[in-house]
Amino acid sequence: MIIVDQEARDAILYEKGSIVISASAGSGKTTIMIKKLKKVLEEINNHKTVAAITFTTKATEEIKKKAILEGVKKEFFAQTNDSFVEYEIIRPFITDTYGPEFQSDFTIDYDFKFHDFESGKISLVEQEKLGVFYDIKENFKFRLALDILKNNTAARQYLQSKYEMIFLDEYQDSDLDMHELFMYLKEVLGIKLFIVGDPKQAIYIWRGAQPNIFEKLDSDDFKHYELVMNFRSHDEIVNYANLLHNTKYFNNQYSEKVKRVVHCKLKDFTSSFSRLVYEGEIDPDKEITIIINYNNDARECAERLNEQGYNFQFIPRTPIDDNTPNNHLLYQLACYVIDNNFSIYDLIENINVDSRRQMVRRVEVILKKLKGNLKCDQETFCSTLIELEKLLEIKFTKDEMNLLYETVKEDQYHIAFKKIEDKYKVMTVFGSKGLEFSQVISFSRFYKVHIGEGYQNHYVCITRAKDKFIMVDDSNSYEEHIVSHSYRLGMSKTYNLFKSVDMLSE
Amino acid sequence: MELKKLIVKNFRNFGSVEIQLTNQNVIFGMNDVGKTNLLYALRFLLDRQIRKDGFRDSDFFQKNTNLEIEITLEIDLSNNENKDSQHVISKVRGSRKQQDLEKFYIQVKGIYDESEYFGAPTLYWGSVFEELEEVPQTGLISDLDRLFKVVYIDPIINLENTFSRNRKKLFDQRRLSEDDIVLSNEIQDLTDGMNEKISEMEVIQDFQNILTEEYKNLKKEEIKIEMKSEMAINGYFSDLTPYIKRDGDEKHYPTSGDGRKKILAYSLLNYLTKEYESNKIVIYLIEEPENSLHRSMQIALSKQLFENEVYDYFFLSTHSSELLYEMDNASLIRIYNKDRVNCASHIYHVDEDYKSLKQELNRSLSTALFADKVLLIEGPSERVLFEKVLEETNPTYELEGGYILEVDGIKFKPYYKVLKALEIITIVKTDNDLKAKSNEKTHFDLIGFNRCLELVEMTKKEFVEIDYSSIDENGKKVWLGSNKERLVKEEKKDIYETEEETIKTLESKDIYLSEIDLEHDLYEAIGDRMKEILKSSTPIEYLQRAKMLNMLKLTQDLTATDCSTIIEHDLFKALKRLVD
Repeated sequence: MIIVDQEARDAILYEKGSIVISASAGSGKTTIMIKKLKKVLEEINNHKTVAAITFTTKATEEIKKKAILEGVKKEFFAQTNDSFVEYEIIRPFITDTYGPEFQSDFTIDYDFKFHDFESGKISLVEQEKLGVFYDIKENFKFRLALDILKNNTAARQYLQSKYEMIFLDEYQDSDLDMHELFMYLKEVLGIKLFIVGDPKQAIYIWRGAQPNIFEKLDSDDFKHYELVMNFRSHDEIVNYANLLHNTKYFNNQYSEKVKRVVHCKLKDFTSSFSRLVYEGEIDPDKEITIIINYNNDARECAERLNEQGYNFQFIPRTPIDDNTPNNHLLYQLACYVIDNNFSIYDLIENINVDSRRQMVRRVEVILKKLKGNLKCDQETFCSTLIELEKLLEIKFTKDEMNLLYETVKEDQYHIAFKKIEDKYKVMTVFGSKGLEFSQVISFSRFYKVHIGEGYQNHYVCITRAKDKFIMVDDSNSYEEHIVSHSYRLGMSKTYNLFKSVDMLSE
Repeated sequence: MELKKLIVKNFRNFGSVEIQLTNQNVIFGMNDVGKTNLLYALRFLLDRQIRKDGFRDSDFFQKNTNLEIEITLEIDLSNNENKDSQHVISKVRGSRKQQDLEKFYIQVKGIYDESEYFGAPTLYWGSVFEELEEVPQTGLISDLDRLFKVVYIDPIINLENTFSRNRKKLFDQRRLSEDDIVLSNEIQDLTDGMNEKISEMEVIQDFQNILTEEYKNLKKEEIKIEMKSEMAINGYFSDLTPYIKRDGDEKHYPTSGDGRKKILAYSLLNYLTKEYESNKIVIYLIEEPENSLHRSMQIALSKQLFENEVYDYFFLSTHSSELLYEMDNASLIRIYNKDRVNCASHIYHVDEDYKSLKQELNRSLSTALFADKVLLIEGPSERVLFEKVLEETNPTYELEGGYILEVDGIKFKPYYKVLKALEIITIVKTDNDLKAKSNEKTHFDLIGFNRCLELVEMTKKEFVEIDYSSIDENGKKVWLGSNKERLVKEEKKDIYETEEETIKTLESKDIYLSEIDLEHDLYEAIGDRMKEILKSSTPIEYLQRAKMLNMLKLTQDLTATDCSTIIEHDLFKALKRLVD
């Protein structure tokens, strides 16, 4: 395999300063990040260290695991961006910055809302709570952390003395307040940054992620690199994705007749499915994942396929899929309550609490009322969670409790929390993020790319596929948009871009 | 990072002491006065291994377990470019407050628990002394232990033990390169071969048979006794011993001799510390390393300690003046016992003016440091006389802590400052010198008197005017040396008389000015005996012609009575003070 961006990959490792990497889906961004992290750590000959900062606990765990596989021997910090600012800046330095009325043992309460920064500070004193802004696009925690840094020399010296470089993953999901804090670390404190992300995968703009965040990094003291080589998907799938999302790398000279990307016109998907299998477009021996963006449509699709004798598992978008503060913990709790094979030890290990026996026992006693009891009333459910809050010194929001209750109560969501071996799945694009499947099928009606909607979802959906991508074209303008775009980029034959399968005629 | 201060309260024989520190600290004092205890205070603070045993009742001052032990180390972080300062800052997180970013305190406290017969040590740190925070701890290891490593080197550090205890670390099998692994296997084959050859030897076989037979006579058992080389059983690493090979000499010399072994053990520890503790700030606690080291080895070690960057931070307890030859910017910590054990400390810094004389200065000073009372004198003729007088009147004065230090070219001040700061009784004896200004020959500075005033920071005196001109027979103004000598002498006497009050004050501070000079003082005491012994009617002039030589001549014939007359004389109070 010729790795078209090998030069960039080598240069990243030898670059001395701050780095920004736009990494396309499947290009191995976590791998290059760990490789760089390992090299930086090995070159440090003093007490300094590095931090790897991610958006979710899941991603943090993945980094820790990968670091062990890559042979990283020295200790480093891997944490979520929320816990980074909380435990490295806010809690240690808040009292010293604002005075003794600001105690460091406040609770985090994401239900507690206010309109402006000063009210947020007052509530830290009066309610001893760290809350959030009403406006979901503004980030109080990061704004507070930056204010503390600006007003506390000890805090600045602490971070400066400790960190050689900070690694930031999934930067496209950063909001403006996060961005400002990270830029302060680089510009004022002189801490080098390693930023990696994929602007094309920014699917969290609705909750404050800055659409143009990578453009904001366009300063001289960053070295920019681009990783486009997709190790996951077949070249034909990569080229198809590049057409709209990575125009620069679109290969208009591709001269093979494309087999891996299919545009399929049909009357009714479920009835045409067997024909797709029969004609060899779908290999029933490999994984098949159908991506449908609405729960009801998706469930119905699975049901109807199963009526025909297939075994499709609908993985619903559950109420707790939204990225809430304790998202990871909620997921693990749901697994523990719903899945009988998920033991207390699995839970303890996955939520990273003190695994001493006594603690395990205490968590188990508290959760006894919930384990397997899916018909528990809401009051008991919430009071149990409150007990757990006290033990683990955490704070759920009211929304989170309700969402978790809803998730446990509704049978339809349970499948999302059980380990399934099934090869055939139906899921939403949000659920598929970070995953990969051999064959992916989706529907063009979800991606109104001709009017600039669903762009990022479109990209994420295509790049999940390793071997085959089938787009069922059930909208009028989709194919037209694709074809006219490929002409504009100098590709004259559409069969060099996708294969057309017409099942409208019998 | 700079060590600033150590405060020890209610620990062992220290009720309450506060000691100024720098990064290189020398602790000295009489035996059993508490040098080891002071090092222990640091070990309780910084060494997890010592701390884990907790405080026993005997660790409390006067065994009073109602008291609270408190050991505090103050460090200075004002140079935050320094890598160790940064290291501290990076580990202490929010324990530093904006209010004081330069200082940082580390503290251990111990409160005795009667029911447990034990005082659990609790660690604190922070930049504001009144608001120290508990040091985060996971299990037995605290964040402090991740920051500092104490390397304690005891006086009987032993090469064999140090080597065998660390053999595993030194020859870490996991670090073998691929080539080494091949070689290692070959060595294994060779040792097997060697053992085979050994067992083929007749003398060995005979011996094995005899031994086996003897054994069977005592106990019937189907066994056979075989002789094997240690190497085959425990691996060849177990057999390695360090040897010394001189450059240009093919032979290997055993590292016998305690001195050489000791130096080698130090080298080993240095290596191990560099290799395995590179991520911690290492503080060396070195106890009386001079034991079994030849003087020249001690001087070499002194150079190592004060100049090798491995020893950035150390506390050295010693009785050896040789170990102090290279010191500069060191804190001298003298532990002494007056009513109760106390510590005096002084940050010794060789002034720019004396840099070139560092060794000479240190050499004479370092011996004086180990005394309780020091008499500072100007030159060799004083020494000759005073030693003779003391030999006759107080022959054991040195054993009792007295010491005479000749300041010679270096002047009194640098010695006086250091000794005084260390609470060593410091006596000064100096001549009442006058000196004409270079630009005005009738203006005379009171350099002797001023020397004394300067030591105790009193205002210096203005010059005096002595016009020693006279008119010769031709009516011409002339400047005669003999005139000058006479007038200057009269002036000195005059000063001594009119400044009586000030001179009394100086004497109360152990600073003694001669009326004129040593020879005149002596004449006042034993004038007739001087004439007699030196067979001269003008013995002062005779002595001054060849100061030391003629003084030697004089002292040879001084009797015990002469000597006690001298020491009892008012002009020799300085000498009396040394032995009272």
